[in-house]
Formats: sequence, structure tokens, C-alpha cells
Amino acid sequence: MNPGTGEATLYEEVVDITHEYLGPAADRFITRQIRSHLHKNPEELKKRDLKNLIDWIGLAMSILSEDEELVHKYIASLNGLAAKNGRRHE
Amino acid sequence: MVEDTNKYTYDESYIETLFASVGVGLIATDSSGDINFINDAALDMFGWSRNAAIRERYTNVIRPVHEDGTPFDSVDRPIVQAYMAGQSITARMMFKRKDDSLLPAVETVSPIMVHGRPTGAIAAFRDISQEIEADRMKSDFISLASHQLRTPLSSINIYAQLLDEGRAGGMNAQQKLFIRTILSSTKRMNELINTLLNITRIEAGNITIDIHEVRLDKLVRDVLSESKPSIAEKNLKLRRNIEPRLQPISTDDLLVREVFVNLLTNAIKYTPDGGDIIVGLKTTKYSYMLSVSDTGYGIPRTAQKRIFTKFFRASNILTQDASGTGLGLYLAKMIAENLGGDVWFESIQNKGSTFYFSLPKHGSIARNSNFRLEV
Repeated sequence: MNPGTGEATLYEEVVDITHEYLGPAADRFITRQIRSHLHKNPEELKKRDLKNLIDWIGLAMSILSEDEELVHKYIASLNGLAAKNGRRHE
Repeated sequence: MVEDTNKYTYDESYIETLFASVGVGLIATDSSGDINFINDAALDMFGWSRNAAIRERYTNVIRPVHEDGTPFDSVDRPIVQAYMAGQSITARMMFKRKDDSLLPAVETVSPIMVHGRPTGAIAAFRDISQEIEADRMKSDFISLASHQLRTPLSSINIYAQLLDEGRAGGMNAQQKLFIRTILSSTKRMNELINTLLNITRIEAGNITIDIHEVRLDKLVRDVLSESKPSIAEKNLKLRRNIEPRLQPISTDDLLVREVFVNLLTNAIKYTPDGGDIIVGLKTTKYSYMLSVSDTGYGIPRTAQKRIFTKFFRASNILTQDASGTGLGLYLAKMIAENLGGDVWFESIQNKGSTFYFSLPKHGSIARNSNFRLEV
């Protein structure tokens, strides 16, 4: 939660979406992706990072899951998050 | 990481011929995890036909398994580790061929970057069946010799202990001194046998890597606490420089501990009385970095290239301590590499040394084997 606005941080929103697909592993999975590929702490995630992050998440998920449709749905949800909210989290 | 570039343009058939001629197996995947390239060597290794393999899911063709044949967890697969870390991953493991027979191979897998975006992976496989067989024969010989040595050593140890405890009557001071020498020598010989067994097994890739979430800061503090008596005995000043709030790492605590104990023991052993030891633990971009610095004898420049060679001991150390085996640093580096990390050092003779031990932030890859590290 962003202490200034009381709104969910971008990281929390990404984890929320991921939770539906990876359950309790979501937090760790996303944290590792952010640290490895963006070299940032999760709370520093910005909207401009999402495109790169989603590319890597998509690759990892394509190997982790047999269900291609599920992976597409998950990536589409993340792309939806990247597209929404105008300048929020920028 | 494989970076694409427009600087070079080759005919596609030339590239295919080039890859087909390589002795190692090569497989490339697209962003959906489907195979879009496989060379003849990989087809031979894994027993697939080209028609069946192309467009097949990578995970259906490349099936890493533990020694007992059970499949790897998805997250432990090298390709997933490479995607998670964004860099090349190399792992030595068993694979199931199409007919379910087993193939030992080394896999190196890297993400493919096209115009800065990850678009898939390329994996190279080297069949190590013959190396495994040679290693197995060597390992069998050393295991047998070590076990044969251990049995009489146990008898010597037990009877020396009984004499030391006075169970066979009283002894004069000189006899007690002799018995203590026998006991400390059998202890050293036992440690040497353990080291030999560990080296043999780890060289053969035959040691279990049991992955847990490990708090490195706690592990370091525990080892330092256990080492207090030997640090105090030499009146050494110990300083800790441990980064607060470190995230846990997925690795094998027994193996990490062995490397750290080895580096710390060397620092204590090869630092003159009253010297300083500084133990550091911090994170870098890709890794956790543990360091052990001392104000000890240091390593002569001429010896530095050979310091991780089996049985090597630097000339200035031989005069300080004749009891070392020259196996500790070799084993430490081997263990670190098996965990996906490394050990290296900086040293100035008569000023001191700093040994570094790195572990990748993405953690180590699990391995099931018949043997745990002997400690």
C-alpha cells in the first residue's frame, strides 16, 4: 500500500493478478523477476518497467505452465494493467 | 546472454549447416516455449526425429530428472532459472530421452535477446556419459580405499581413547603425551579421508544439493560463534560487516557452511597472534557476497595462480604449518561452483588476504544423489 495515497502499489497490483495463476508463490516469483531483470526493489516498480517485466514473465510462464491459454490470459491481464490508469505509477 | 545484432548477415542455410556441424546438441525455443530449431546432435542425444521435435514444447523434449528418475520441479529447470535470472545457466544433470532411457549431460541455456527484448532461449547439451563412467571408476576406487582405511583407524582411535581415559591403568606424563599425539593424528587422518571422499564425489557430480531457504546472515553468525575459542586462542580481533535485512537464498546450508568454515579456518590458521579478521556479507547486483579478510601471511604472487589447485600449498605457509593438505581451497571452490557461485581472492604477501565467496541471488539448483557431504 502506498502510504501517501492509500492506494495499492504497482507491485501489489502485479502480485494480485499473478496470485490467481501462481497462488502463494506469486509474491516470490514477481519479486525475483523484478530484482533479476530490473535490478530494483519491488516497491520501486514503475509503469515504464512493465513492458520489459511482462516479456520475462511471459517466457518463464511459457515453460512453467503447460496451459498455453492460461498463460495468454495471464499475460493479457498484465498488459491490461500496463495500459490502464493513465499516468498512475509513472 | 545471446544478443542479436544486425551487423552480420549470413545466409540462413549457412547458419543451419554451421549448427548442424557442431558436436554439441543445440536447441532453440520461441517465446511460447516451443522448439523452433534443433540440430542433429541434439536429435541423436534425445532420440527424437526432426519432424516430431520441431514445434514440440521444449519441456516435452528436454526432461531433466534426478538420479532416481523423478522429474525436476519446473522452477528448478535450467531454462526457467535462466529466464528468472536473465543470464546463462549451466547445470550438469540426467535427462530422459524419448524412449525414457537416461542421458547424463551438461546443459547451458541462455535467453535470446532480440533488439533488447527476450524472445526465447538457446540451449547447448554435451553428452558426458564417458566422463561419468571414468569418474565412477575413480570414485569407486577412492571410496573403497577410504573405507578400508577408516576401519583400522576407528580401532586405533577407540583404543587410544581408552588408554587416554586410564581404562588400562595409569600412565606417566610422557605416555599421555604420546597417546594425545596418536589421537590428534587419527582425527586429522579422519578429516583427510572425509575431504578425499567429498572431493571424489563432488568431482563426479555425485553429491546431493539439498535446497532450502537459507538465511546467510544467521549461518555466518552461527559459524563465527562456534569459532570463538580458536579466535580467542590466538588473540585475534574479529570484526563483522554484515548487511542488515538480507533476503533468504534458496541453497544448501550444509555446503555453504563448509565453504565459509574453510575460508574462516584458513584465516584463523594463517594469521599471526593478535591479527585482525573481518567477515563481510553483502548483496551485489546478481549475488550474495561473503568475504573473509585477514592480516595474515598472505599468498606470494608466484603462488597465486595455483592456490585452488589440488594438493598445492604456498611455500610461505609450509614453514608456518606443516599439517595442511592443500585440499581445502580446492574443495571450497568446487562446492561454490556446484552451488552456482564462485570463490576467489586478493592477497599481498605479509599483509593479508581477502577471500570472496559468491552465491547467485536466484539461488542454487537442487541435485539428488546418494551422498551428502561428509563433515
